[in-house]
Amino acid sequence: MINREQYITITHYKEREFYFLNYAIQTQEGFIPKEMAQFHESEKDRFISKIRELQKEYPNHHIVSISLAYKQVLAHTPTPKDSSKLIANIFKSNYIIQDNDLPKDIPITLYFSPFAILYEEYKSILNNKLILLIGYFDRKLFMMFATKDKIHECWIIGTRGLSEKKIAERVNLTTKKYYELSSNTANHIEILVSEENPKLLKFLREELSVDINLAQNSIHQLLHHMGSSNEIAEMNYIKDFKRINIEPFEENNLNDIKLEEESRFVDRLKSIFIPSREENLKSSILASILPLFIILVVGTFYYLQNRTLISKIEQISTQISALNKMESLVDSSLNIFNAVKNNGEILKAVLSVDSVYITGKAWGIPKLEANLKHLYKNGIFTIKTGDGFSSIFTFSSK
Amino acid sequence: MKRVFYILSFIALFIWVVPNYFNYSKNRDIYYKKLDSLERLDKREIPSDAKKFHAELFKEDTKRYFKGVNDVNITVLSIPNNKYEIKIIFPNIYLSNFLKALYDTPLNYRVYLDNTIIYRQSNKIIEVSFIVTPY
Repeated sequence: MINREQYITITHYKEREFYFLNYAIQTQEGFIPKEMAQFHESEKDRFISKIRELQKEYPNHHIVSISLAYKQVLAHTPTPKDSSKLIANIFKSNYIIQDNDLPKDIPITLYFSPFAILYEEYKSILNNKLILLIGYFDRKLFMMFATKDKIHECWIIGTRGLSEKKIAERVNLTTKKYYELSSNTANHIEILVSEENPKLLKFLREELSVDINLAQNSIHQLLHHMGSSNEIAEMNYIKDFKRINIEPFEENNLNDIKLEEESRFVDRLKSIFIPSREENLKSSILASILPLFIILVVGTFYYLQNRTLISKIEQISTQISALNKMESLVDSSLNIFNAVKNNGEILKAVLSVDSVYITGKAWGIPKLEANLKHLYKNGIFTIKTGDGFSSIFTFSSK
Repeated sequence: MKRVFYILSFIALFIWVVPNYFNYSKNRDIYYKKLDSLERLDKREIPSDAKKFHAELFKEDTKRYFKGVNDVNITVLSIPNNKYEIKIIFPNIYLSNFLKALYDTPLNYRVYLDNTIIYRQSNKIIEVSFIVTPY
């Protein structure tokens, strides 16, 4: 089959300041994606001329794009024709309406709302129970409540500048509002993302506490699928689109494509084992960074270990000094009580490491004085008469 | 570019890693020596690491040193500057039990004793008061 007969889908969309372009050969068995390209918005002309080139090369084509407009609303009745609005019939009497934002200079022949893509992706699993479908494209959450017979509600949440936790809270808040209005709840959520965001999924799971399934697919793949048959393409915003005609594929041509794919695969394999000059340079720089990295890791290890050791040493030193002081006081206490025993009775004793002051009753005065002076040679022992016949002694030493 | 990384690696190795390693190994020896000294001072039957000071826990632990003695009264009062004033009242025949508890206090808790211990004795009952500071 020559290029003139092959049906291809050229997909493009703009995210932030980049245009993303891809094309795929559509066959009755599915599509075969081909080269992908990315253009900065300053290279818009190059981007458009690439589309024109593909259009010329493959006359049987559709140029498929996605609307990432922030305002896309659900209606249950067809609205009168209005050139300023785009209307897509997604399912039975479920319409998505938005302002006409079709670019004049960039060709588009099929233009899909993310809600149409969401419905197409999940229509096979819809049943009587309410399911919340969420599409995460270009930092916007396209949310849709659906059952097998109806799309109930659609809305969009912008996530730019919000933390994942805040996004999850917003999702929870808006769904709760819907539950209050409809008195129906969903206990299952399907999320379709074009880029991975595990943190958001984690917070959504925490915030919503319901069963959540995640699927990831690129916008190009989703759009190639949307442009793969007339039945699906009906869901797009452009009503009078050219009917899709996929010619049956001849075995030889399929083989050609397969061969081409295989040769690219072999090239890729080769590139893994035989690195290019640029890769060689990169790997040699990486190899030279490695010793520095290892040295930094080892250094950090010893630095942290050392800090821990210093803090342990400080603690153990304080403990030893507290224990030595305590030992000295315990010994002094024991010695003083033993010295006074049998010769008197302590009434009050104030003990510290370097001084002692004792007062008490005495009855064996010479022995008591001798015992105490044996312990503290420079101590001063005094005796005076107390009440009745008792003698009161004081002993102090510094 | 590669040469710069190699030079940086050598500088980091000799200026940072090697001194850190020597400090670490010197401090490790000091730590084990200190640990050894502490073990020699520890006369408890079942040694354990010093805990953070807690008034109720301290009372419970100290009562264990006066096993079977009913007339023991322990009060722990929190006073300014993160200190605790401790008063223990017990019959004077249990002085050795008290001294054992006192000796073990820095081993059981991360505290040190403020300078003085005051004993008051009357009718064969001793009242001891002292102040500890947690660290």
